[in-house]
Amino acid sequence: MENNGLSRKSNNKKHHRRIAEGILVLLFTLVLACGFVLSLCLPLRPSVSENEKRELSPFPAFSFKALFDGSYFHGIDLWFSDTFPLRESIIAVNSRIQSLHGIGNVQIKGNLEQGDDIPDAPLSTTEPPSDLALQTTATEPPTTAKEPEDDPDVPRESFDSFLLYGTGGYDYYNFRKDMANRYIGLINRTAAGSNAALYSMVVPISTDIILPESVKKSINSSDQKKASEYLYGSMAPDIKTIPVYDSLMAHRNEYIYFRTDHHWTALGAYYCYVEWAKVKGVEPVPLSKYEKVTYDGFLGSFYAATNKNAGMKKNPDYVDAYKPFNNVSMRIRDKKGNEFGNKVLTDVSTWSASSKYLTFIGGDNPYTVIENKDLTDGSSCIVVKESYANAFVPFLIPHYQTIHVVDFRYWSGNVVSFAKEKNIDDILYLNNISVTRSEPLIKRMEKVSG
Amino acid sequence: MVFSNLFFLYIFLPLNLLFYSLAKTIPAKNAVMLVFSLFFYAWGEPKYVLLLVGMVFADWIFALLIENSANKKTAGFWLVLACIVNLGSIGIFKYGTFIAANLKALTGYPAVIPAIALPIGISFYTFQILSYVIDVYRGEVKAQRNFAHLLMYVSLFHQCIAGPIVRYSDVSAEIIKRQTNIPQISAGITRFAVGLAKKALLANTCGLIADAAWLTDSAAAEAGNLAANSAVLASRPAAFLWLGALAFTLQIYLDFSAYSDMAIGMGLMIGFHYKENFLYPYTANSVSHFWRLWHISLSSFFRDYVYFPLGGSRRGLARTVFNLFIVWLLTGLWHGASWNFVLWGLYFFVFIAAEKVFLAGVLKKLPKVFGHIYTLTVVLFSWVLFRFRQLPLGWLVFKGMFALNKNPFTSFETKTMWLNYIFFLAVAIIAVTPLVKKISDYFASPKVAATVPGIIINYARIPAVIL
Repeated sequence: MENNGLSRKSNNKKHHRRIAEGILVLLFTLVLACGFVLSLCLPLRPSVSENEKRELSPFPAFSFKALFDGSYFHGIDLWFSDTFPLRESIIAVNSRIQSLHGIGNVQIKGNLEQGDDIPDAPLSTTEPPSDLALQTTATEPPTTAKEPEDDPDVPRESFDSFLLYGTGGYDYYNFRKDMANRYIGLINRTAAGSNAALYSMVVPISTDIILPESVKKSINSSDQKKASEYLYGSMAPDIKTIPVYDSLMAHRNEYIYFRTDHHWTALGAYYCYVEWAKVKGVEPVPLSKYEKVTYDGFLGSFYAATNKNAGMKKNPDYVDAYKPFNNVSMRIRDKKGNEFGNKVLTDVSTWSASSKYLTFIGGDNPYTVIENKDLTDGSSCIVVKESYANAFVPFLIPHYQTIHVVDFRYWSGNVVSFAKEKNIDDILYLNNISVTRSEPLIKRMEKVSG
Repeated sequence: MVFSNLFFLYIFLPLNLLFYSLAKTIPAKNAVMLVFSLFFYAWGEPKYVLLLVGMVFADWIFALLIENSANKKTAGFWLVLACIVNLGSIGIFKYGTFIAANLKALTGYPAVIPAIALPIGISFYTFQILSYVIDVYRGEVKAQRNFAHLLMYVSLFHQCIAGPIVRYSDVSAEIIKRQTNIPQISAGITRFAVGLAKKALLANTCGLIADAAWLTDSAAAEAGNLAANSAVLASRPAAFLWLGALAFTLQIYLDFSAYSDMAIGMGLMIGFHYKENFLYPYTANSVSHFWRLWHISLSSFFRDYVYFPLGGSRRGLARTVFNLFIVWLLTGLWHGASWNFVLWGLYFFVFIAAEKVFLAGVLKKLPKVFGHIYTLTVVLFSWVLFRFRQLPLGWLVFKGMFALNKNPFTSFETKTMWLNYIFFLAVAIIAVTPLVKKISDYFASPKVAATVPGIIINYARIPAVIL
């Protein structure tokens, strides 16, 4: 009896094992088959990632050279995985898994760098940083823009490093003395070469303004106030520098920066506009004079760079835009050279969550010109900018008959000769402080400047 | 193509298994494997696939010549020639640039350092084919008459580019005759899934942490950035560098053993039995023990084809130490054509020789835990040497781990990173120990498997594997 029971038990065990093994083999076959079929569903393959604002890797073009050097097969690999059907959901699942990795309201993303010490004294005039910069630029072949921050056509894959604090992203700023000196040099050269008045506005990024003092002190990000002071203090005396750090700091409890995106809001831009008006000596238009439009559900660059952080998604940003009250017309020349008219503020209510910041002056284009038909005094300015200035430019409209906006990353002209040719009154370099540490951006800006 | 690549998983492998199961006879199955393997290799190296085929062809001839030699002398002549061809090829393609660069530094000649691309997997497949020729010379295996069989063995995509170094003698019978059945296929699938999970869920994230703490491999390899890289590493807080050390220690095992798992698993799916390549090496209690558990197919290669022929440990202590020196010099060089790998090999030589001479005796007298701590410490610091091809960078990291670069002990970012990955690291550490396997084996053991929890656990494996 006992014997019998034992062998039945062991038969039973074998039986269960057999079934389990059979099911496993069957399911594995099924998974491979499904993956195979799914991956061949070409129409399901996306070609652009809205979220990452980039075109996904295309299927490589065939050539014998590419075949033999291996790049053809490598290209297929890239295309295959980059455009895999349901990639957005796969990324979201990945992000879920990542959130299980540890604890903490704060996270570090990307690879940290080390900033240089910021000099206490401004750059002395005997030190010629500009010559050196000139030489390097003169010998370089022309390049196209390297760091197109929010251009849907060109990839911006990730930040060097940023902090995820609560549901907000905060970009690290590591001061680089060589780059800062080149930035100072190019501004000085432009001022020296041109008759127009030169305004410089270096805008701090949210890291210094918004983060609590305790966090700000402990993170390995350079002091932006000190860096601004170094930059402004080293510029030639005739350059009109616009101190904006303290003003933004005074309003730090207001909605002046996005959390899911690296830009400032139009409100942040407005406070800096007030500072600009003070330096320029004009009366700033009160904000109450504008009609406000709001676009909800904005999930910007940090959201993309965190692979769709769930906290951000639950708590998205919104974009406020202030409608110009003047009679304006705006024309754009885009990267392909097409010229067309556009509203100063585009209605982006139906656009994707990642595109809301594009409401301002039609996004980033090489050249944009805005005419204020209410003015006939011939006043004009050039704004040399990257995407930060987009939220700022509309506030300038009441003060100039013509505003030329050039995005130095895509524009191929020269600021000094352009200013002469158009008889420009004011030149405004409006850049966020990260630009002053980026070699590709500085290089590009040197090309279009003095 | 790597095994964790989507193209491999959803196109290459399904098609391979489909055609393999459609082929009814072993010769047909072998043909399927050969075609797929050559395609797999050509996918990564469209040109050097010819080098692979050429090398196998040469060694196929050499082995036949050796076997048909009238006497040992002629056979020896062919063997030496085979060694010259094989080692010459790896010498040119893997070490050519390194040798030329060092010659130039010493003598000023050659004026131009040739930039030779390293063919994928050359270190692995050269050793496989070389072991075959030597085994034929030793009379341990019969020479393979069928060229296609030999080519399939060497190029087999399971192991050709990332190991394990499978000996011909281990699979020669299975090339002609092998069986598959459901339990074996199921075991293969499980093993493959374990490897894939190790790679995709654990190793890649470990890599991310190590890159963040220690610079990315590509950034650190950029010789022109030495000053900038040094500045970054010198300022890193000590606890941050330790995080990098832990993460890289985990990464290199998880990554490497994952490939072996997947290779062994795919082998089982079609009836090949490859030997284990990693046996939980971080549980070793001495450095010599570590190397008996780590990348076993490589260390046993050097043992059987270098250490033993040199006399092993039978010719007195001085000769033993010399033999160990040679073995570890070569082991270091095998890992890469750069001085840090040479030093890395010699670093292990120092500890293994010391253990041979006296340390093993000391360790035996101490409680076991000391052996484990000593081994892990030695291994952990070895990875610092291993990681940085530029020695000054490795030195900076080493000093920085003891806050000797005037770097702080910790920082906000350091604490944040540790906290961000604390659960992950705990899981990864468990994954390098045999704990999970022991639990799983316990439930699969005859006594327990018949009980209700045993049955449940055995069924529960299915969704786990599939996921």
